[in-house]
Amino acid sequence: MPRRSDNGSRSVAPGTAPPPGHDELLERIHAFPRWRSYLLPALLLAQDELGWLPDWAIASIGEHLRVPKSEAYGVASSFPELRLEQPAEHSLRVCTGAACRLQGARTLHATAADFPGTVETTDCLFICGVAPAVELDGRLVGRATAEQLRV
Amino acid sequence: VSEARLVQDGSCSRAVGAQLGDRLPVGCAGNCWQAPATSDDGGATWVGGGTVWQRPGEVRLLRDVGRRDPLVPNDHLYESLERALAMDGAALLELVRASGLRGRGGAYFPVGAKWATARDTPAQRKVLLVNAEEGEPGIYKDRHLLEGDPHRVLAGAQIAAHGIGATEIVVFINGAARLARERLGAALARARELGLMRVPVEVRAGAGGYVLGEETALINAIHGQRSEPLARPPFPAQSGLWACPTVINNVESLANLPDIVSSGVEWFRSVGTTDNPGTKLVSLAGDVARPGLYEVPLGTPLARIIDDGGGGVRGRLGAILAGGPSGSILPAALSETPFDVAPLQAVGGILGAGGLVVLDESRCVVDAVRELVAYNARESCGKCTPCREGTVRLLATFDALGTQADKRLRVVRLGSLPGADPDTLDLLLDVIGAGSLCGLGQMAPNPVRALQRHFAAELDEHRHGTCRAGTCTFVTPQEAFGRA
Repeated sequence: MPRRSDNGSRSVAPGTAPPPGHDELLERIHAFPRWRSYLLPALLLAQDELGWLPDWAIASIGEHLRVPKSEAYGVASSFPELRLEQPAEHSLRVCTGAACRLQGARTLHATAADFPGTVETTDCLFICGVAPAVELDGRLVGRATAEQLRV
Repeated sequence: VSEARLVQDGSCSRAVGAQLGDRLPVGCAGNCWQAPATSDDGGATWVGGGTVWQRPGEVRLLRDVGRRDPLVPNDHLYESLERALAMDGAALLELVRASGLRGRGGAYFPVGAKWATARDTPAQRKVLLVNAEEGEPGIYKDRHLLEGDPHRVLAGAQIAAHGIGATEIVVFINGAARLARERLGAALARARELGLMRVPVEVRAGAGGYVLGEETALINAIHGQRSEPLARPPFPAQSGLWACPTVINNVESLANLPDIVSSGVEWFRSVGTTDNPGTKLVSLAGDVARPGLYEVPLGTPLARIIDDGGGGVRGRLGAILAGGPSGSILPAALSETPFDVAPLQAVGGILGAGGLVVLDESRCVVDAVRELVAYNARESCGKCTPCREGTVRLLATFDALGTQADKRLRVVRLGSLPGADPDTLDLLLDVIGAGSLCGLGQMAPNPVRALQRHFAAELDEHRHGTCRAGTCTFVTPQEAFGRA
């Protein structure tokens, strides 16, 4: 979060300056009206682009929308689908909702132990009719088998 | 492309790698289990997964789903809208009130009464907030409607806006419902081009959170605040989004409106119950032959939904999870219970958003409920103490190591843990239910109470370290904590 130093010039807290190469994303963030209501839309945009929400993204969004970084972080951390930690290149989410558990989600999850990336469980992927379901690198897979859990 | 040669193109069929070929892609008619499926007769008969399925003749909300190109504006819907706009807003409200339509998001509050509060509150600016958040595990009805017939929802929202006197419409759609959002966006663009959207519509996406089922938490999310509920009053209908009178209606509630306007109150009331007329979408999953989305008259016995729609239980019926994480678990003996608010309440359940998960008799009911308890504990927003601490404590009685952060798959360990004895458990349930600020906490005890009421023997067996399904393993707290 930028703040005023004693001599009035702006300085940026460590870790919150955008690294180079994200001009286009910053431009798109700056295109939002400077209104707090666009906090969630801007966070979602950044996550879509980056795959997660690094501190600098939250700080840049907060600065543009005039939301203190602490509060922007507070909002980001209240939504389960927003990622505050960098995921691995490949990600696997195994649905463990009621229907998928009945169709062997537990076993599926256990076989994913050697998956080369981030493995998570999720409460529902909302395709219960084709259980068990997983999300592999952002793509839904229904009637998933252990063989499909490869990248 | 022939209008008769169709291919199912919904989240379910895409997830199993459906090929569209040269067929017209349409939404999933609810026959998810068949995915990928095709039809050669305009969507009346579907073939897929080695089965042939005749779609039921009498459906209302799903009438056009899986029948036609979902993005092409449907004349009969927008004719209803024209008709509604030709009416006085107050008269339209009276029509909806007379229809007896109740909110389909889970609370079943009379739609007309909600509208009236907002309509009667003087303000320049009023908002209709379309709730398409649908974050409850096992519920996918709004997604189906938005994927298969987005214009029905848009026309319904415009009708509602007229009845309320709303000056703007905001659609809040679940962030994970990507296909639904895409189709809604495309349909909206077409409807705008054709000048069919009288009241401006803005679409906002969410990022998960069961607590958003609470209206004030949903409003907070749009305000750029944490998704936590607020104390009421003021009710959103008086002061909601941007402090304007705001009506929050579920997608399915709105989808009923075009038909109510075009076919009338008597037609609408011709199915369902006197107190709760119309049809309800059911997300049916679990140990049934045909898991998918069904539309049934309110009051249909659960067993009939499972047999007629779902094609019967695979194996023998053991229990029915009804109403999701805020709902209950019912024994096979209660399978004739009507699918309606009051009868389900009488047996300790809720109708909720209309989810049914069928468990055959080989399944462990305690384990099934433990999952719901764990879900409530994870999704508690943390604002009020009875819910934040209580749901975690409740989970701890089911699981020696149960903590909010723990999302790993676990086995039930009721064992001899402190707090698992019946009296302490009762007290805990009372505190959570009575002391919580919003519905998430207030209803979190429901599944456990149902377990106590209907499956007392199974619960007690788990206290003493046995599971008749044989799927739970038991460890002592010493073993669990790795110390002697």
